[in-house]
Amino acid sequence: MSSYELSQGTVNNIQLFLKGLILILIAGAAISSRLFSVIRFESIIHEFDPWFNFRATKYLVSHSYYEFLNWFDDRTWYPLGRVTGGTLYPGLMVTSGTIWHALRKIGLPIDIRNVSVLLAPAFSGVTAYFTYLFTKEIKDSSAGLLAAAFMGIAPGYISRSVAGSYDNEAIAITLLMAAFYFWIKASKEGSVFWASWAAVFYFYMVSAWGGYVFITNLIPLHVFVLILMGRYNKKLYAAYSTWYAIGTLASMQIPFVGFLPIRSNDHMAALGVFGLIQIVAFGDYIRSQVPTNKFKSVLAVSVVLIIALGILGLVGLTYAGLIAPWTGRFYSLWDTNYAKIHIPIIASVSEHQPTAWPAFFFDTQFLIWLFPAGVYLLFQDLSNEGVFVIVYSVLCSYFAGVMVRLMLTLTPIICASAAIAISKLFDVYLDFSEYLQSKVVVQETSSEKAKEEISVTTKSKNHTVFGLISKLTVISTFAFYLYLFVYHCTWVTSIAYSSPSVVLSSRLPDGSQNIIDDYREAYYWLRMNTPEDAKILSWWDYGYQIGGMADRTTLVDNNTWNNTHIATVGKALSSSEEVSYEILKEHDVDYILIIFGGVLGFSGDDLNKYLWMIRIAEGIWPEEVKEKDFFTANGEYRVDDQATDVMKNSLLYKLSYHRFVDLFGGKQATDRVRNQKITKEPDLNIVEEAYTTENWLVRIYKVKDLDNAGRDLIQSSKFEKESIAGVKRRVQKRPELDLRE
Amino acid sequence: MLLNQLSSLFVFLLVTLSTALKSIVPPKTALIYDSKITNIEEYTKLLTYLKDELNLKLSTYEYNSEDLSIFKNGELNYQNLIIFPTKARNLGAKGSIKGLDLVEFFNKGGDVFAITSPQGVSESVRNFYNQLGIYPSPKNHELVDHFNGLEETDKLIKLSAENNLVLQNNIIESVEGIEFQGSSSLISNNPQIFPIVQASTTSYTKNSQGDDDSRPWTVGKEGYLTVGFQGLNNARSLWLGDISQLNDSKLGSFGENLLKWTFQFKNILKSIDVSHNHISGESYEDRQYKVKDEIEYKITLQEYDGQVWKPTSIDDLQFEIKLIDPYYRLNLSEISSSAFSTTYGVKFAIPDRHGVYTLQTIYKRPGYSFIEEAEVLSIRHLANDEYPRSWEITNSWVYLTSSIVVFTAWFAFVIIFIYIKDDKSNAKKNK
Repeated sequence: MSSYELSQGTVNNIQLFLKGLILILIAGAAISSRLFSVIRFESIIHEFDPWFNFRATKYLVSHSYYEFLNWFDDRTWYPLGRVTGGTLYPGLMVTSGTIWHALRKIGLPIDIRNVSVLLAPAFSGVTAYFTYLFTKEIKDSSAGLLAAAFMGIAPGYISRSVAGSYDNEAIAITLLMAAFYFWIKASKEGSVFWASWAAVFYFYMVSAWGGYVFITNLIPLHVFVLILMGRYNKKLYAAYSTWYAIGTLASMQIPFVGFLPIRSNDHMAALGVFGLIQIVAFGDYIRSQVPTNKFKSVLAVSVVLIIALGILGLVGLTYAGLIAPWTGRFYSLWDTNYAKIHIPIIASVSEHQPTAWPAFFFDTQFLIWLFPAGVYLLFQDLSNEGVFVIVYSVLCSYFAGVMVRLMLTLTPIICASAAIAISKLFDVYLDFSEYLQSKVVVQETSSEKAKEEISVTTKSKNHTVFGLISKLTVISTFAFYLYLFVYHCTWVTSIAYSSPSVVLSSRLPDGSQNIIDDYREAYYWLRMNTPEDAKILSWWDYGYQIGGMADRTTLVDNNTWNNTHIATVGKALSSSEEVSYEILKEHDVDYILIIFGGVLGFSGDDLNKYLWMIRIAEGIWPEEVKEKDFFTANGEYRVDDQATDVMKNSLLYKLSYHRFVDLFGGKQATDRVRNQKITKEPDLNIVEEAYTTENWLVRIYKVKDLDNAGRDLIQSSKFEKESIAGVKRRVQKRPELDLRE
Repeated sequence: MLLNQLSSLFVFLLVTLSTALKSIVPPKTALIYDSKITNIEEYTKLLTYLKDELNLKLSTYEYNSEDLSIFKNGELNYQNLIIFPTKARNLGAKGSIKGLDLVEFFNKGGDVFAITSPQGVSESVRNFYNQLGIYPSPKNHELVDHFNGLEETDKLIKLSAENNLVLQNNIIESVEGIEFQGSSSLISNNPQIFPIVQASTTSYTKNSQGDDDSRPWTVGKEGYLTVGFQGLNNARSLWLGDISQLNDSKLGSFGENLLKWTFQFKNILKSIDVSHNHISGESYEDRQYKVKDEIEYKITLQEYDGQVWKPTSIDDLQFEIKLIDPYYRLNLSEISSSAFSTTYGVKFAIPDRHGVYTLQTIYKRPGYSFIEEAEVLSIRHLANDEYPRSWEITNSWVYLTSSIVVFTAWFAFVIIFIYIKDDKSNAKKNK
């Protein structure tokens, strides 16, 4: 008997060991599945925003933190410049800077690029661990382990955290889960210690990502719902007051956030709930002092009064301009058409578009239908922590439906809820202890007690033949689902989320992979062939990449803080040459960089983004740039010979199709993106072609100097062309000249 | 101080050296003429003047000479061109020098002095001037003035200062005694054109070949007889409507001044030094400028009078600090002057707006070389520790006091609360 029995301590140790092992394996799986991009392509920073983060990180490690904090960047937003140190979330850069310094201290001098590339995968392992802790607080450790495993490989999270995706979200999701874990812990135990930890991670989150506002609103909402449910207690009071006081004061230390926590509407909920909980605490104290029936009427009146006063005060202060109204991004969360009408620049960003429904399945697979089940199960016993998960899931489901990028914040809660559902299921169906127990009992039949037991167990055994089968069926079904999930996740990660988008890849007819590296080719050309202080004009999408890869000054970039400046660039690209040239000269532009996909069939090129440029420019100069002028009489967007004159005379059109007809050497020239035939070479005067990449994806033009003889460039290049062609005018005509001033 | 003197001495030496070098290696000059119209023998005074007075290395060519090529390996073969009227359509061997080539010559920094006459207006020269905005009257069009005419035909016209000299031109002083016979031209509004001699009100151009009812090329004051032009690169060009002003009988101060101006012996300005620094003397490199910093901007100019560089006497020099549009446009005043240059400067506070500014001085006056000096500088914002501390602002004392009072009151309250509570419970126990 004693040989079979294990002491409780041993069991615990084995459990601990297994848990540790499982978590390490989960972290391993999470990290390794994010390395597809490095294996497929190379260790390179992806996309757009990460290039800025990378550039800022390089600045941080080559300068002091003081210099970084007060960094005035004169290489972007020429000639305005950007107070970069005060307008970024430094968490990400400081994290990788710290790692870089720490590794150097222990004798591992690693290139900062590799630290940056591998930061997101490394943090995904930590995220899995915090998801485990979070779900463990909600249910138990087996649900926690499942949640951690889901979180590790869910494509919804992988999409923003593959190697090279060096974005704020890479660490922010980790911090989000950590802050929520400590919050749950604090509200459960009423511990100032855990609440302080929640505040510390909240601060870290504020320093890392603008999405911290989500925590700022979710935790107060949790508290508010609990108060409404009549679940106020002193633990909640201690936890919330501590978190709010420390967290808010700490968050105000980030220069970019500054006084927002007391001035912006986004943060008012937290402040309001902080006030409310003081009043509720006071009310609670009163209740303990006065009889119940009197208290109820006092309570009802005061609650109505307070809420009315609060809302009036908020409206009044907002109206008086003391509190900043909600931002455009916030409005577009409620009205999906808001941005399209009022702020084209927000609508023009693809990740601000509403989510397509298949995306939910694509990003979370079978978790998406387990998610409501998990929420339902939490409703059943409705613990305080459960309420948090419910509030989180309701709020986030809505947001994820409105904006693609918010899928990211929904993923953790999907994983946790689904894990709770599955773990509940497994609790029942994976429990074979009675069968094991009966065998143990059968082996030793001596005492009468045992005999009785036999009769009981045989009964239950007879009872559970079908039970066993059903258990096995359910288990195997879910094992299959889990297998499918892992398979799906791996497939999605490798197929959809591992492309750096700086390097494109296509399949050749023979099936081999063809790497299209035009972006880097162009940026490298700029780096090597243009003066160091050259100013490059491009649409804002490419600003960060030009800054990061070509190291040249740009006019606008992905930071999009100044709509007018972006509109100026839009106007320069959408106006006629004469108008554009003035703008170009005013801003000292030396080169223009455009993306043209007509040869390759790359649909994300500038001509397809053209309408956004026109709309943004029209927002500032409605008299000069008009969207409808770019559409034909039938309302079509055409670039062929039926295109409108305004379209044909616009700078971007000319830049795109310059020499395009020649490329086809007499054959019909067809734009492969828009499937339209180009017949005429546009007349381009104010710039000259400087460089065009292998697949014509990136085209760089040099802006001509002012004419030495004071002519306009259209006249001078006309003269040049005619002289070379040998056009002669025998009869000299008297010129029509303006009166001399 | 000593260092300053030494350095100015050094600069002076350099300037003398460069002047000396200029006379050692004289600029190459080509004179192109057409023997069908012009007898080069009649221009010996001009040739001597160019060679001996102006120290040019002169070569003369028939318009279609095989040896004549204005470019060599893509670079200018001559610094200066003098083009006499030609009957031919294009210049150069087999008409190789076209209008476009002259424009290129000019854009690369070459100076062009061209004369057209009713006998000969080559297409090259005409196209070249048309591009600059000067439209010389075509072949056979001749200026006539029946009021100021000196001969029967009224084609030889007496010029007068009040009628013909363009005021404020600083290229020639007088047209008294000049008898003009030749072409007139129309000019556009191009600001780089400097008209020098204008046709008189009573003059017009007459086409000797065409029918009389056609519109004359110029009528009255819309015609110009001598026009200067300066490119943005400070290359100069001059169009003259009368070839006889250069021949042995007429060449005088009028023609000489025109030649001196065109070939850069007159009205030459240049900036030799631009500097700026903190008022304290620290440079931008030592301590980057930030908003509201007091700085000093200086520019040193000099003028060439044909022999030496000397100080300038300008009183309308302006400086701009701009960020797309100028924030300030300030007058520069003379702060010091040496034997060969003048320094202008201004002290000002940088605007309260961070950004990438251009500090520029643009000086463009008719007849003088253009001065354009621009430097792009980034002006940073205040760093986090450069704002005044809260207690330095008197307004904040109210808030500081109230918060300190609250802190102390709270602390006192807690102490008292605990103390009283203990007292009560003790009292209860005692009961």
